[in-house]
Amino acid sequence: MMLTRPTLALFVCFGCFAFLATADEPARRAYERDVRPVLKALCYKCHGPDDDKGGVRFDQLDPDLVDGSDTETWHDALDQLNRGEMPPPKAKQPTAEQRRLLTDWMVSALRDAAEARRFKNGRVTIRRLTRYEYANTMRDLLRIDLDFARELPPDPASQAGFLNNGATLEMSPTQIEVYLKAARKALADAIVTGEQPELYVFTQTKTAVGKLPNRKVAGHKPVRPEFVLDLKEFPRNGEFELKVTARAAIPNDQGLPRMRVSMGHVPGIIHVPRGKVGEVDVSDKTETFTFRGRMEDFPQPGPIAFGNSGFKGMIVLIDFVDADGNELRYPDRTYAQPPAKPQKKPGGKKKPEPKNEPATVSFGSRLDIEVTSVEFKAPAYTSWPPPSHQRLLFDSQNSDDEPRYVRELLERFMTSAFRRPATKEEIEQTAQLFEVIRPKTDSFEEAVRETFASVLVSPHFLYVVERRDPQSGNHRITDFELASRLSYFLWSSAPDQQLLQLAHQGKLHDSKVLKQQVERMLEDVRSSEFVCRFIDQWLDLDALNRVAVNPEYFPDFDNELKQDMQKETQAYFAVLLHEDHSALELLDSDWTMLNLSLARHYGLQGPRSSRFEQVDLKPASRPGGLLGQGAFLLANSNGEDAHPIKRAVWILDRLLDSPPASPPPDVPELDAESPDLARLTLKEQLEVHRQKESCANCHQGIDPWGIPLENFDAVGRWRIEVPRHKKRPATAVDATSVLPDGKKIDGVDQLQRYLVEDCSEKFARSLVKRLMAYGLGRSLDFGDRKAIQTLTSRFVENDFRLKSLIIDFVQSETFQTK
Amino acid sequence: MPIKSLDRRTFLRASGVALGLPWLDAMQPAFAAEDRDASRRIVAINTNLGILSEHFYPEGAGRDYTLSPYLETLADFRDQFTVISGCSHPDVTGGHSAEVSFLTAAPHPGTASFRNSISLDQFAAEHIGQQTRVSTLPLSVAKQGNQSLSFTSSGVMLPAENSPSTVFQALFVAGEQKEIERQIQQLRVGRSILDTVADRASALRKRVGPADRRRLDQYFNSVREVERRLLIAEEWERKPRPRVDVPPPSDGEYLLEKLSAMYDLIRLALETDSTRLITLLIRLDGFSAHIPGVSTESHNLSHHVGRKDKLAQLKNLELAQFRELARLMEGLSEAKEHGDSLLDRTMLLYGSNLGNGNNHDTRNMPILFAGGGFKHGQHLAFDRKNNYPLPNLFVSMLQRLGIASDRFASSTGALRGLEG
Repeated sequence: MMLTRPTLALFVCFGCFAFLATADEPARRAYERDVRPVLKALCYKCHGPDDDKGGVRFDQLDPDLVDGSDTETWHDALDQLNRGEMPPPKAKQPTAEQRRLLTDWMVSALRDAAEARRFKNGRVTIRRLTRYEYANTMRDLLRIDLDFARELPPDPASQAGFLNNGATLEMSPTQIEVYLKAARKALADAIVTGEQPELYVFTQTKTAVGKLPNRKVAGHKPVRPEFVLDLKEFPRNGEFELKVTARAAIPNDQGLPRMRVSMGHVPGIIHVPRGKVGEVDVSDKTETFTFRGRMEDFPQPGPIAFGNSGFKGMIVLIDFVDADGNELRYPDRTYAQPPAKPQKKPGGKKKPEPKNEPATVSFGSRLDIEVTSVEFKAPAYTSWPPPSHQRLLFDSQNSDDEPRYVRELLERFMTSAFRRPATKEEIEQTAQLFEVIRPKTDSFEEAVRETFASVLVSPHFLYVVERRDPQSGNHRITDFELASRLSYFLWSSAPDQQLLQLAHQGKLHDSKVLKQQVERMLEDVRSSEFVCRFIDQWLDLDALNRVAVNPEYFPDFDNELKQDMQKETQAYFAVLLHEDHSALELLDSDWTMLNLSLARHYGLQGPRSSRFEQVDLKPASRPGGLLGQGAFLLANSNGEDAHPIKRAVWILDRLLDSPPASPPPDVPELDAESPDLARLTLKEQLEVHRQKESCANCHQGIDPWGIPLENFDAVGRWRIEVPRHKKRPATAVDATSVLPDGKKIDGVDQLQRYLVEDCSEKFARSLVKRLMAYGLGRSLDFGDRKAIQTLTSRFVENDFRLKSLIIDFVQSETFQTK
Repeated sequence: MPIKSLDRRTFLRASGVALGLPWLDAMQPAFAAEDRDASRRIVAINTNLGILSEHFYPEGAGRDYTLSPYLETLADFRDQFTVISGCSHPDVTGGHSAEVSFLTAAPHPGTASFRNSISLDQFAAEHIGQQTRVSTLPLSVAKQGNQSLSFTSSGVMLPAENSPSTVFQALFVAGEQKEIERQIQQLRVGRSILDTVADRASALRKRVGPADRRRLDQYFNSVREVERRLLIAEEWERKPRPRVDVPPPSDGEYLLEKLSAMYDLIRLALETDSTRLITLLIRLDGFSAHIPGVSTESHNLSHHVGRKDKLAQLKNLELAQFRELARLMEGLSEAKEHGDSLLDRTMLLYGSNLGNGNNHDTRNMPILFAGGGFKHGQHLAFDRKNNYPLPNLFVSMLQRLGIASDRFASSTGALRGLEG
């Protein structure tokens, strides 16, 4: 047949054009005829030619939701109409018919638009791994523990606060350079050549003694370790292993002392550059603690040794602090620093009488520690060649036939790296690279390293790839794609052997199998990645690091507490998930997870160590749930005082999925330096603020949510009084407010009760939406509406159990389609 | 670190190494550059917590202004710098988040929908980057992190180097001949690797939707760009590194040590023409120890709420920074290149993303602009209520580099009044 290509193309083009034209015209006519008049009657007064409240003008919105740029605004309009927020209560209300006409039009136009967009562009389904996903994936694939992501630029957060949104994860040449460098470095570690390198082993049971700076010199703090291990020789690269055996004496149920291990060198008499190896609590049982690290991450001396400290190489320093962070030192003990010689005074004066040596106190009668042995080993290989080498370069009968052998190696390696079977062509193409490289290298192993490196900078490795079959119109993902979705959702890393095996057998999408797998994955320690990453991003715990606590207001606040606060919230969520509690306990409960320092900070008792344990809050009557946790309270303060607006916005945005609009750009800030305002508490300042008409509109809906939390100060401690500050006298806390719906609230307890009783479904929807956005690695759009509704209802029916929500989500159409 | 001031040429060993690769178009400017007479550079520095305006801005405008306390430290170079007041980046709000927009002028950083855009140095690098061993050098002085002022056109941040000794090693310390050969071998294999993965990407590209295709194009272009960089790096690897007669710097622990080491490095990098585009982000947060007359943490100081004791400490901190800057300017003005001082050939931009660190105001950014052969010695006083767009200065800077560009970000033209 002589149907030539150009004709066909022309035909197709014409077809498209005709289709668009016919679909467009009647829709636009219907809009002009039916919809616009209603909008004009109801909305134009505030959102039209005369006024553009909120920056929205309905007369200018593009009614073409497929190609126009106002689709999201229409989406918001629909939401607000449905929630009854618009038109505002005082304005003219739509009749039932008008309301139906508007909703019908918006719903159908949005649905068509979502489908058309998906059809036209496809969603972004090729998603670059985030920094942490990349690091986890490299670690799990190569079984090498390196800080792979260190040189990568940070990933930007999406609108909803997630770092794993495919649409915001860009790629740049710099990243490619880092990926290439990291891959080569890791493979040089994983695949070895030649004989086992010389092993450096040092063991000591008593501290080495030398001259270390024992007083403050030029601002450098004195270095007074309990124990020093003297490494006269050491490798400059590679992994080391350090084993410390120690026990503590802890009379009177005091908190456990903490052992701090660092490593560095002594370049002179002033300071000792060193890096932290690790920290651990020591109990009264003798235990051996193992630390690992990499030599190149620690300060090393230059080729020539200086100084007369007695330490020419590197040293490992161990010291102890009690639960309050004070150094534990006793005058009768021997330390790494030689005792100071009595000073000769000029003029032949008598030397002062030597004081009586303090009598040695027996171990056990005071808070004390004893290091009985320290062993250093580097490079820390468990075998030679190391397991990573044996796994990547496994034995084969073809190992003498390089071309055949390398194809075998590649098939296995590429299948794990690509998280699906590598195709014949892919293997062949990569093997050809090996053949190009091989003549230029001295050994087979070197050529394999470089060849494998090419796999680790390949798009199939760096991106989660879901291929598209434009012909079939079938958006269902394959079992291998499902395996990756699951593993990056729950582990932030690549699927393991078992998932790939099930995918290979085509069983993974079976709902029973899927449920078992989710349960298995949540049991696995890797699920802590889900807990930490999801919680951090959903609740924006990173904001803790953006608030500088002002030491003038809180002189005792230790910045390490910020990390403890973050851990409290993560550990709390982990218990809810693993012990299958109701997610409503995020809103209200009577327990939390604390360690010693955080418990002290809150003024509570219980934990004796830095380990987090469950603490009953009933006796102290401190509120539980997120609203009583430091992570939320401090992150949403200004580092000096509580900040009701920030706290309110967080509740509305993160918990209730109704973020208030961001302030218009021309809002004047409250002038904190104006003398009148300085006399007011923040709550009073807010009242002044709300009296301004320009502010009142929005803030009447915001501030009341934050004020009930006024009993918590900026760093999350309970208070009944706002302390005096400069010209402002101390005032009793007033935590009463009236929510936008007229409900009177007095204090955090009533707010929590209100949230649980009146907002549980809103909260459920909010959690469902965030979980979906995180699990899918993309922003939700109109096409997800039904799924959100279904999952939310199921979640509520299932008593807000997170596990069942995750299982429902994973089994849903949304999770399994592109 | 004492450094003798030497003409750049004396650093360069005679280039007697024959090139083993075909002559590349992309390389030509790199080898021709030495003979061009107006090789201009940019050094852009942002100190992130603001600068106290009362001690920075001078009294009076134009040429007859009176030096302010901070500018007194730079009095020797009065004719070589211009103070600009009443300028800022249009629509750049967001307090501390505005750090990332200092050289990009991308509006509304810190909001959820923010996307950064290309920074001044990276934009310039697209035109002149290949003329030097390192196209750009994003640096930082910070307690932690690798945040920089440099961003690619897709808004990806380039990680900053915060160790002067590491940069020194990379720029000036050559390995043994065997090591160089190995390095070249590595670069070549690197190119073969990238060539293979680029092929993989184009194969994949055919099987995905249009949105994904754009992602893959970004990947593909990045890979090709790195290939090109490796090729250029290979040529540079063959070219002997400039020899510098100073010991490698130590990285230092405190603000002034770090700053001083970084400024020394910047001068060395410029003197040896190792790069022509340098950015430096000074993140003061957490630094304060070892500065005479300063005892409080710097971020805390910046929120002085008008207290006299804090203001006094803050002034000491900022004065110390200006003294370091004066040392940098002195070094650059002493170094000569083809009869010009290096300062004449270097556009030095110094300022902050905050006009007021106390209340996070991003308007009225403090800006000092020195060198680059412009007509200086004046105070350009713009309207403090209705700010002049700072990107206009960026346009002038680009034009001075020989880049025919009449726009940058939200610019409305080029800054006039600096033509010499």
